[in-house]
Amino acid sequence: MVADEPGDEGLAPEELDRYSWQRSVAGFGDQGQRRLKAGSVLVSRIGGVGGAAATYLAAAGVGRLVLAHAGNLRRNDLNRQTLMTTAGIGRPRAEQGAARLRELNPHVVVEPLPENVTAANAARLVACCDLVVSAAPLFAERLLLNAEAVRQGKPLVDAAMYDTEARLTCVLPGGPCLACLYPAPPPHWSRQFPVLGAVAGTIGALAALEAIKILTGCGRPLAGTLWSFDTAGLTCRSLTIPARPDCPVCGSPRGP
Amino acid sequence: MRIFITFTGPLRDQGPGTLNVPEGTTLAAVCRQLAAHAAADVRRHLLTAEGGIEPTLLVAVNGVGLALEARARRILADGDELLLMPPIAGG
Repeated sequence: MVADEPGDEGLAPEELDRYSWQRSVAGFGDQGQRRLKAGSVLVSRIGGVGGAAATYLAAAGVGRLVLAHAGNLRRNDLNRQTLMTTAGIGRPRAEQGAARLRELNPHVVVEPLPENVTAANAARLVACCDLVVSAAPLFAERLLLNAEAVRQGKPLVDAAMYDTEARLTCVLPGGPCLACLYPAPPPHWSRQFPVLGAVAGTIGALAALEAIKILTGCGRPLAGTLWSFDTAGLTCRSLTIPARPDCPVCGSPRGP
Repeated sequence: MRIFITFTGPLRDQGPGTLNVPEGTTLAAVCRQLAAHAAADVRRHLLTAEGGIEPTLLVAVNGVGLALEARARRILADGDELLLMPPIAGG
């Protein structure tokens, strides 16, 4: 038997076996698995949050993952960037992450891109996938991805953390967007922020779950809601995102 | 009247707490009152240099997020629960 040959359901026998524990999840099933395999996700940065998201997306069997992250691994990344290894210090993050994910699941096509989101590449990066996971540590990158995702009508999952707190939202076509919350890059956000790796990993895993829900239709993704939790006391809250009719990103009529 | 205030993110250490304010107090006035007694690194999350509510500060009253244009004129009521969430983007 050739494991990589598609089976009757578009899934090879090895894949049916690999995913057997999740195929029995209510509302997921073989159809969810096929939809996941047909889907592609851009993960913007594979640090503590994005790395965890990419790991669970790969394990779940997303068909194609594009990992966008520039630069080489530093020693002090390793408290949270669990896709990396100590041996990889000084080497490119994107390639390391891709190699680890291919080891985890060889059925997933993983493409490393050694670049962060910029005004010059945002349109190309968003266009290359069905869905975006936004996990960069800079608002400028998040807002660029948000604007492109809205413009191209693609769903975006935005996950962020600080200290013991984490936040999650999904920007779906027609709904409020990140620019409704943050009309401009907040001037006081500091690139150096306190991180417990487990907090970053938790919200990254939840971001993967939202992406899986959107791609498969299983469950109800966050929409128009900012969900936050504080791991210090394990408290959570949901905040309705007030849509801005004058939002320069999602409030204006879109072109064709 | 009493306003209950919860702070999150970089402001978490400021609360939770209660504030006694006169009837008819606006949200903007509460932010200015909080900022008046705060250090600069706290004040900058609440107010712009011009004294308006910082536009990237997420604000909710009783669990409902307030759009930018609704904030300045929002009048608070006794027992309102105010949530102040500075933006975070750790990845």
